[in-house]
Amino acid sequence: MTDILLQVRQLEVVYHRVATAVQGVSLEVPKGSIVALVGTNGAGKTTTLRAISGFLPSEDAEITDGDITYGDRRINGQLPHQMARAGVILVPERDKVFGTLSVEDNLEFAARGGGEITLERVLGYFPLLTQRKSQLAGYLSGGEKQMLAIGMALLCRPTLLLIDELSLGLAPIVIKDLMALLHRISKELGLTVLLVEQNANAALAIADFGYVMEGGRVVFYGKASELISHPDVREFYLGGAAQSETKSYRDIKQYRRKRRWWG
Amino acid sequence: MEFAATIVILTCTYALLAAGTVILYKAGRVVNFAHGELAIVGGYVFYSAGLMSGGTSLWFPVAGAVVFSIIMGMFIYMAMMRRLVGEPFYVAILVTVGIGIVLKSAILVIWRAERLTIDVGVTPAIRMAGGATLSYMDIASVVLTVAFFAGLYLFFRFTRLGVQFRGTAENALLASQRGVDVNFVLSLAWVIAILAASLSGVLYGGRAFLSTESVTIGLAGLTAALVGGLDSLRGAVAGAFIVACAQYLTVRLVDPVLSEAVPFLLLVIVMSIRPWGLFGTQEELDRV
Repeated sequence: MTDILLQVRQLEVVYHRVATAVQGVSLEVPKGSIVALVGTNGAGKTTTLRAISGFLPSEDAEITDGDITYGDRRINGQLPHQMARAGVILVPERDKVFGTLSVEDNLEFAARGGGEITLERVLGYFPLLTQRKSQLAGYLSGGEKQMLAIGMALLCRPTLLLIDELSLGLAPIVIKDLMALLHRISKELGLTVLLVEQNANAALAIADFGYVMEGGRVVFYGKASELISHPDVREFYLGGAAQSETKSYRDIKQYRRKRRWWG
Repeated sequence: MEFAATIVILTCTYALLAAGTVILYKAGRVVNFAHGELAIVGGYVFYSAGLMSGGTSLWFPVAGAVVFSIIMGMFIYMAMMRRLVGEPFYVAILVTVGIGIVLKSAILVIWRAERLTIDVGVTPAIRMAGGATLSYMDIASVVLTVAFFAGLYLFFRFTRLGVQFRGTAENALLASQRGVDVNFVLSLAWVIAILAASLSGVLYGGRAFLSTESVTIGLAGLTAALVGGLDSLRGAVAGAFIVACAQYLTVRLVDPVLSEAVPFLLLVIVMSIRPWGLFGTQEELDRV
């Protein structure tokens, strides 16, 4: 068994002292692997990522229970810049680039000197950014913004890359390319990736392990290949059940099985 | 020529104040109502440091004013503003009003509200065509202001810290997630703003006088910033020039008593025609 880089145990996060966003989430991210965290809207995926990468005091969010261990350090309640300097880099879902800065300045902003990931190397992965260098990042297309955001994250010298909704608002062909590129980058640079996705198909296709969240809890987990072929996961999250016999209207309208919490 | 020189120097004083206001607004969406007080206290500190060193060297008072700016900037941000993040914007504004009152009392207690003129010991030197005389102090005002703005431009445009500064002003959370200590950047904003204010206070104290009444230059500076657009450094200079011209012309042509009221008249005019200021961005208005 490989080393565990990140371990989350029984995590509970409360916003504004009243709203519990996740409850008892546990997950493990082995070093060098890609782990997908999938689930529907409001399942608590983003909150889990944010708890790992740190909250600003102004967000009024608190980890009320559980432990997050990164390497051999307990990192509950660290500030985002402390986590970033420790190599935990988040690509957020929205506002992932500085719209009022040029592409070049965005990359410079993130760059921490040293390390093997140079600007040339990042531009090698995303050649499109070279052409857009002097443009304001606010005017980039969604796909270009995502590339810039990942480029910035790479220049921060990550050990663990957290990506929130890589596929959000992008065309299927762009998603496919980006996922393939992410897989390549993580293998070439030896990065560990925790990927949060609603698009479970795309995420599980490149992941080694997968966790499924529902209503603030983890309900399934396992090897990505097992999840893809799991009948419950297929039906609830991947679209379409395994069998293909014609169904009556009543069967289609509701799930064949009741969802159960396995967490 | 005399009027041109006066306007230029007045512009410098106000532009420095307005620049600080703009930087603070951009960095933390705070409108600082204590800026005039900070400027005058900066001037007093400069004066006192000069007295303490026996008035022999300029380095001591300059160092005094710089140290004052650094300590004051760090203190205001770390002890007060940092805790107000996430509160409604008017909370921070009211706190700055409070800081202003405290500073004004401090002037009374420490300096006994003496009217002081900063004399750096250089005599009027240059005779200009048209009969105007410029003291070294005047020339230094212009040179220092230009140097400050040039430095600011180079800092924001070309240094990595400057880029991080601009990014933090746009999105503090993302900046933090990219490894930037947001608290450091925002305290730096306060330090730079107070440094500019102190310089302005010293220049003002050199030409006119320091007293608890002279804190009204803060309102002229704020007007300059609002006229130019609260989120534009270029606007700060333009606004300062407009306020300086209007004030000078009123003193000359109408009545010196009115000079204090002029900035507000200007403010009313600009706010009713172009509420986002001359160089400001229109969308910015929605946030205030």
